[in-house]
Amino acid sequence: MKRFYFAAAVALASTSSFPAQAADWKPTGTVTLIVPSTPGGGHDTNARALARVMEKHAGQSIVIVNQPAGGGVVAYNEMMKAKTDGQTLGQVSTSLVTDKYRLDNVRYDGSSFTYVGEISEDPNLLVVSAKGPLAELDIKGLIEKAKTEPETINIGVSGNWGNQDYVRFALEEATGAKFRRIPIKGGRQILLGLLSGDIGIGLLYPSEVKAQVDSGELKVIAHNGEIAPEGFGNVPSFKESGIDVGLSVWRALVLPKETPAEIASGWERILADTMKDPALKEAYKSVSIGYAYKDTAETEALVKESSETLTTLSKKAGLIK
Amino acid sequence: MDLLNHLAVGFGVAFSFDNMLYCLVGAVVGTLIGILPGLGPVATVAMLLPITYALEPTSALIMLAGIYYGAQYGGSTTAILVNLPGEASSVVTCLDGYQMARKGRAGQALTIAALGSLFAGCVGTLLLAAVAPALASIAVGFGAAEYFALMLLGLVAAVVLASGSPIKAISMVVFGLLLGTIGTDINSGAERYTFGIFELSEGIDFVVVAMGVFGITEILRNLEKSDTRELVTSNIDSLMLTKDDVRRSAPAVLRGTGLGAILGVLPGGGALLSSFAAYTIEKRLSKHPNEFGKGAIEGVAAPESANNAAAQSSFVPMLTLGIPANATTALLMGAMMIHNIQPGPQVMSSNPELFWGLIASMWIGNVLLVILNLPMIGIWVKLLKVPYRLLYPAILVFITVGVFSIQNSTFAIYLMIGFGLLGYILSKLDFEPAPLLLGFILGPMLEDNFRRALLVSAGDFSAFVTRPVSGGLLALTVGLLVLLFSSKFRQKRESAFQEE
Repeated sequence: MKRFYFAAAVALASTSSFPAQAADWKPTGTVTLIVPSTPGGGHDTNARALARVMEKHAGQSIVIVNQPAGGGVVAYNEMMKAKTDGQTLGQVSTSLVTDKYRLDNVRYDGSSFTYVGEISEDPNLLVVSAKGPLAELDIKGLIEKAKTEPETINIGVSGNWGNQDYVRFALEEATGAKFRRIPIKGGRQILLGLLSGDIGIGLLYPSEVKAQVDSGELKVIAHNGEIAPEGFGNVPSFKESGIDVGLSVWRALVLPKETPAEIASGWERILADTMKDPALKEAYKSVSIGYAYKDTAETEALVKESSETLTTLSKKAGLIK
Repeated sequence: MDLLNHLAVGFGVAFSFDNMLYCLVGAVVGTLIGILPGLGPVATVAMLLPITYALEPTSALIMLAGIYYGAQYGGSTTAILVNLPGEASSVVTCLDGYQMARKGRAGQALTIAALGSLFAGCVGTLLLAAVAPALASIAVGFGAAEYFALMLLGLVAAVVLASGSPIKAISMVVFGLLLGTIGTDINSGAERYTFGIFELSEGIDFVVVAMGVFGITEILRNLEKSDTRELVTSNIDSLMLTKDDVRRSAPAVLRGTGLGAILGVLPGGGALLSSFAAYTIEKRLSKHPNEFGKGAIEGVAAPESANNAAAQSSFVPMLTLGIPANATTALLMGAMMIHNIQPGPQVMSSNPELFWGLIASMWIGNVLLVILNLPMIGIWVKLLKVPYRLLYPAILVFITVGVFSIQNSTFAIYLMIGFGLLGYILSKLDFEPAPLLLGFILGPMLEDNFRRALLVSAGDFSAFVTRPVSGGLLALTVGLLVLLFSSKFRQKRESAFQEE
């Protein structure tokens, strides 16, 4: 008799607690966050700022695993193969949809993951040396110069067909301007190029140029974001200057595609709480990462739209045969 | 006088009990990381970053900087004892340091490395304090053409590095250059020699190659001798430098320090070149060039001083321009930003206690390192008495973990084993690995800067000659080549005379 009661009680307890448990899914051990860049890069800076605040809301510590190999391809492949138990998260960005135009045999695109949500959006800043010959121009003047004297202004872009190359291409498509494209490995080398006068203009993330803009070495002419980046004064966006070019880089957290809905919604809630936390905005601000948040459904729409825009540009640029 | 006031402020900050402690912790952790082959300061600083959130920004930076230069220090220990360069800068230390160890002079090699580094560290720091802004303006003047000329000079110097046949050295440099072309071509996006393997699309990491051709190769070579290894002979416990050692090392330390301090300022690979350049210069100037590669003490003193001086002066571009010289300083900058301090020229005026405190702490840290290390040398040397059958599995474990940690990928481990086998074959054929590594390091930078310089000048080759700095460096390269061939020619003539 006693045994029966006990069993019934257990059954009762488990059925009644089941819905609550589902709604409150939380990771049960240390969480791994795969980041497709080296320590110290923009992706990594973002991940560390986020993880610090998210640990509180997830109730677990979050370990960042940097997998920079293959420009992030290896990391994305690893994220796809991860267990679907919710203990492994991945951080992705715009390159998720453009990698297949850059490299052969890339098997993923914007639809290969379950999105937890968008975590940040960074514009590219169009910067010039404050002491150089282009310092006096505004964005319209710069475009005009690049139209009347095509291929005389050197533009530094990071890598081959990364986000900044698309921005450059879109800018040329939209205005008819023509720059001389100088691909350079990494933002640091672009900074050096600007300071030494090798390149006239550079496209860089806010976190990469904050120091030099504050010290008066570099000047920001325009940015490609929707909202002006914080801490750079009154810089116009391309759109405000009548040039229809956006293409901010977005970053999002993902889970493997087959992750159970209960786990995915658990993470969606943890991320929502994290992004609401004032500590997160503070953390982003200190490292110049642009705050932006979208939930799962909104992020899916964002990725779809971004994917369409970038595919169109890739076709125009002849990257798709 | 300003400088003295500033230093007084700095030492006031650095001498506080807390900051001394953080400096000590940083230096000790750094030394340990440096000694463990393959585990670099980048991974360590990244792991420790969260801990520093809770610290005062000055303390945090003092500790992280301690890890950085402590690792430089520790790296030379492994290079000398077991022929494992943990970082590009210790490749050269291996050449003569390991030979000294094999001759039972490991103690002297470690002592001169420690003392040379102390001297270089102190001078480098002073230079940083006195002329940082002036040095920064030099760095800004270096465009792609100048970097290309500098790298070319380094590459020609590489041939001098080899102690054996110049033809074999040149072929190793070329092989290194070819290995450096693996990856995606940044200009066209074409993949070169990647065979569809994504892990290769960004090129091969230096540590993978170094651990393979130095570490694994050395283990294979030692294991091939079936009898007990004769790595170390007599005299093992003597650490004292002889008068002759001091006489020969002192000028080498001075020259190495000067070279390192200047080249370290260039964020595009200057620090990397400094130890190679210092070694080359010593070999050129030495009265006993034939001892190089066989355990010449100058061959340890010069590059060790150079890389430590460069480690200090690589803080110049970071603190004055906000441009990190390498991945570790990039993380240090990140740490500053987390504490709401924007790295850049304004740091000096907006956070003087941080700027000068950090500089003063480097001084203290260097002294601490020597105090820590000198008594430890005896213990490290005793490590060589551990039977090799116990030592080599441990080395294997450490380098495997270290190589894995670079990209968190197992592919790198297989690649390293491949390079180990290749290195073994090459060593059987009397090819030396050092020129290969130099070619491998310089090749991609050489190509990048060459092509960028041409893009910038719209295909005009005269840009290399008409820009004064790049023109001057190229002239120096030509001079070095002439010197190289004329001395070879002279040697041939002399030997011909002797035969008659």
